[in-house]
Amino acid sequence: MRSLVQEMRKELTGTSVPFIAFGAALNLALGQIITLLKLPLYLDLVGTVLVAIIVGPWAGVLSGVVAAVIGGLYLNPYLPYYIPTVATVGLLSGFMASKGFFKTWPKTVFAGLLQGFIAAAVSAPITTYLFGGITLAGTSFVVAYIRSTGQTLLKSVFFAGLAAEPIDKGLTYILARLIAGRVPASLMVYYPRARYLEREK
Amino acid sequence: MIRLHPYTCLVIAAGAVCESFLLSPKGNTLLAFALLAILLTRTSGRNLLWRFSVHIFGVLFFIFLLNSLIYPESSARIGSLAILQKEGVLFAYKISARLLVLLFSQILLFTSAEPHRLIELMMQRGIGQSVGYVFLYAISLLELLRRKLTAVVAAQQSRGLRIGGGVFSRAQALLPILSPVVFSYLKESIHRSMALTLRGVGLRTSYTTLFDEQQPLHERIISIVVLVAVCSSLVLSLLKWAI
Repeated sequence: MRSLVQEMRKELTGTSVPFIAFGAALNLALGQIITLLKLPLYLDLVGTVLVAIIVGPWAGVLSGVVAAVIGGLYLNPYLPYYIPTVATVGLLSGFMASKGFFKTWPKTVFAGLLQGFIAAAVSAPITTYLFGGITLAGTSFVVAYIRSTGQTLLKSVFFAGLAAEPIDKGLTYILARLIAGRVPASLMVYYPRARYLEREK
Repeated sequence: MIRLHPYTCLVIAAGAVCESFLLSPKGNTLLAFALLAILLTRTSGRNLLWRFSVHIFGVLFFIFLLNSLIYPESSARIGSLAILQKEGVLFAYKISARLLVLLFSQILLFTSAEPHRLIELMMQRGIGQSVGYVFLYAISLLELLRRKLTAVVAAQQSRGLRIGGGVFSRAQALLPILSPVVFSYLKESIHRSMALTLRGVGLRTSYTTLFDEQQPLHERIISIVVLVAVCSSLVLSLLKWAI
């Protein structure tokens, strides 16, 4: 427990703290670009994944939680209830970065798809027990269709989540890796986790 | 307008959230109406309710629509409306009542306790300065970042970026838009880090302010009453479950 707290404190340095706040704000501000580009995706956790890759998993968690709380205040009242999902995304993406999943494209895509699967599993109980199966991702009619086949509400929400989440999270990971990979070396020296992005030879 | 201490707002909101999981649907409906009545007396509460009304009513409408029409476990129908399933409507009512309590308590917290005030108080009471700073900076950054993203889109379009076409080409446009913004904020983070280090962020010192806002006595009593109510509901629920 003590080492866990130390690990969290280690990631909250003077350099990382403003970038964590930026990641949280990016999650929320990206919505307008997605609307402008008319993309059928959410990509609302790009900031969290970026922070988790560049700073660390706990920083990613903090960035996601801050985005969910502030988003609940300014944009969408339902966002704070999905804190477990964003925390999982932050934690897992940081962990995967440290295991080298962002060094090659196939690994990045695999990690994104896995993240989508896990995010769907974490979101399903929240959507089921708090919102009666109505999803924020606009898959409510998919839920209704699966449910009409006789599945339970929880299963229907989970399957509907599987139809959307892996693609969304896969693209989030790809985008985060593309951006993180382009960061100039002069900036990356301030972030020791940059070594996890170095390509395998 | 009564200005409550942020801790009082926090206790009332957290108490209402806990109660929403312990009370019956009827109890939740009453609680939702009580919270709504408080919100309507406040200008900021009315504004936020109005802003979120599309989200709230949209979700409630779909909860009732989907559950009343498709509820596989349902056997009974509602009167002459043969397509509406009774168990589905009851389930939708249960979920909606709880959801309204959750949302109204959240809006009450946000309108009564300004986020800046609440975070500053929590920093005084022991949450890390870094965590508090992340919240405050992210709030101030949100609007700036939106403006910056709009400016970058315009700049990149003038350099020939196309934001039309198929889904793939539109997705590709994200990279030239996001990259400059991320790089500029990475650079700014380094500049800010110097300022933060000079101010001693990261050191384990207690946060001090010129003005320490104390919770008034009557609000302390309100907080205790709310906590007692939550504990009683919990004990009653456990007793019901045991019997």
